[in-house]
Amino acid sequence: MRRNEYSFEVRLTFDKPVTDHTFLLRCLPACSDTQTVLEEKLDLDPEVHVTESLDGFGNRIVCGTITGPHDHFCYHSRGIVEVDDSLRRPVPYSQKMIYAGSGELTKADARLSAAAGSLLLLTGGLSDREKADLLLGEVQNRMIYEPGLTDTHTSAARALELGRGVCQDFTHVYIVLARQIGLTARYCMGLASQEGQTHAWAEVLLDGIWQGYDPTRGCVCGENYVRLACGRDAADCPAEAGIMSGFARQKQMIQTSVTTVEVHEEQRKEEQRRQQRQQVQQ
Amino acid sequence: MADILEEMQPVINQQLARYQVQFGLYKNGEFHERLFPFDPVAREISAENFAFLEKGLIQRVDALNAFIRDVYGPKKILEDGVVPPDFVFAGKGYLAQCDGFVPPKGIYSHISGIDLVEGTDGNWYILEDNLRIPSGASYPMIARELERRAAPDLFRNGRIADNRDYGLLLRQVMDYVNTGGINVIYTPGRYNAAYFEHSYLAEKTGATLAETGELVTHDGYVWYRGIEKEQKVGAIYRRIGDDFLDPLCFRTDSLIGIPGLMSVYRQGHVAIINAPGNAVADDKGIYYFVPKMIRYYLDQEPILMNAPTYLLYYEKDRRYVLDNLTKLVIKDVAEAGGYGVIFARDLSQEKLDQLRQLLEREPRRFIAQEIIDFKDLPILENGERVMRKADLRAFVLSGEHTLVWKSGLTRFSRNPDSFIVNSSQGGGFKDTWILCQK
Repeated sequence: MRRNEYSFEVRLTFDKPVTDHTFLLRCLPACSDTQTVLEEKLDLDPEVHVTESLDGFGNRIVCGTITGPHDHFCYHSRGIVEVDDSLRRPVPYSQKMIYAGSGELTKADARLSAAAGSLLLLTGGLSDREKADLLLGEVQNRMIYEPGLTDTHTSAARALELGRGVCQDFTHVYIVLARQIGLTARYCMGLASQEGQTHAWAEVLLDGIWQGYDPTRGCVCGENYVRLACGRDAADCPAEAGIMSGFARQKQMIQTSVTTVEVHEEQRKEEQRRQQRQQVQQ
Repeated sequence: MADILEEMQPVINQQLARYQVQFGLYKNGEFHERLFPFDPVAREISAENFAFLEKGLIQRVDALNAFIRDVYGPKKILEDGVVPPDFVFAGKGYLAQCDGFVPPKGIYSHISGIDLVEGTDGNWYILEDNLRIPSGASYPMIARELERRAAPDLFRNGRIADNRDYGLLLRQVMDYVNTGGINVIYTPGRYNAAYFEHSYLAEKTGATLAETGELVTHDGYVWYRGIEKEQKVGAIYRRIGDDFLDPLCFRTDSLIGIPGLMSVYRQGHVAIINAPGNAVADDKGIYYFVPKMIRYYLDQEPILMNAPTYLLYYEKDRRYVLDNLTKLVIKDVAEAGGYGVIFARDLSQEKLDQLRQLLEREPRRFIAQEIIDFKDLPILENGERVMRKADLRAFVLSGEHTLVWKSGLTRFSRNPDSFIVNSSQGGGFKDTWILCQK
């Protein structure tokens, strides 16, 4: 079990005022078997009434509209989540099947299929876990970390062709290869320690349970990752989307952090007690 | 007495042109709009025949609705191996954005356009299920209006079922799923080929006709920006495709959508008619499985038959298709509106070989069907009656109950050798008279 204090702050500025700005954010930590939200706060500037819903992947969505003219839009999501991988539960069939098809950015092309084809020769007889482990090295061999060449719309096929990219691209390539060799894999977007930006990693279904893999760092994910959203690929779960009226150029600044909070056993129990009481009251 | 209608045909067609009763079609990559020629020789369906159709259509649409609810929920039919998951998830029809949510009253396909043909063997065969935004109800509505004007006596004796209730029936569906607020028909605007239908249905249902920019979302609801203050919207009969519905959820480049709509919808704060994601059930590959769905969900034997269909996905079917190619019609599952339909018997040897290779390479993309010898109907051409192929689009409405509108759109091919009657392929239409029991 690990307790993470997270902060995710985005500041959008427009060089001319915009109006009728409808936005959709995936900036709140997911509530899942392994991730419990202890505290959360979302500040918006300009202040606006928002509503929360779930998208098709079960991601938490914050949606709102700023009607009047404004030249900036900031959101700051922060709080504390507890991540405990020992609480992982088997994924029901209906949840697993959402990831049966490929997303827009994770379609296999000839190059990806060929890469997967040669992998299949190596992975015969391996367990799913061994395959997923092996893939980490494969992606590291084929991809070099280099920001600025790809953007949020870059497909896995294009990323592999370039052989370069950022965490989103590493994860996309990993996911396509995983699917091609018969694994069920999904894309995760969230926050991780040591990253200033949002981070991306993959999850692979092993013995019916999601296991995180970070192809960019080349390691299995630990409990220092805070998941905000998941999907078949990045196109399914952008952190922010918006539509507005006006001819403005937009600048974006992002700051994220994840730090571990020390927890004393007694304090944890006390909080748990308080939470359970609250649940009963509700 | 029906002869009066034949004499009035030019006048009725003129009136239809004035009302801009037309449709759009793609020919050689270009978009054309053309009038939909009206034929005065109405198709008659006996009360007995219709009662049979009604039962079969209600059964079919109920099963299709159950299937969509299942696919976006527990997915039992897939887990139980009745429908291979491949057919659901590999196609473009399944929208993950719609998963894990049940729309108001659990209805997905509120308006279903089921295309059938009557075989020379006397059986009705289902050709396809249109569950997205099937169009065409306005044609028989307006045609009947003009017929009544031309020959009022014809409709006075109660022999022909009145079809003027479509607006009311549609309104009842909208009211039933409405989550609180006004009913709206959402149109992409007057440049759309079906704009006549959109405005006509708004008039007949009493719903507000809204265009791009007039529907906005805030505070968890959809609002209509009228001339006066904003009004909350409880049900949207949208006449734009899923892709364009919400740029924050589907195609980000859509300029005709309602940003934030899906978030409101998934909070249960608005009904969308038909529900987004329905394409998962009206794909030509899924069509093959509809009789199985009827048995699976309703525990009944299908009343209406599919045209005998083969899935190239199954080894046994594939072998049959390749051995009997020239007897069959091949359909691309991703296409609709009469596009991507190949009669193998019309192909040259070279083309036939190409088709064979294509079928072997992409078996999931095609289905093959036996060519149904369907009944010709008389149409009037240069003052003479000639026989042409025709189909029937029946409109099935699902609200508190599922029911079949006592009318329908009969489309025919102008070309005596063509079996394709879709309006997109340049045919005409005639009224469909459901006769009353005497």
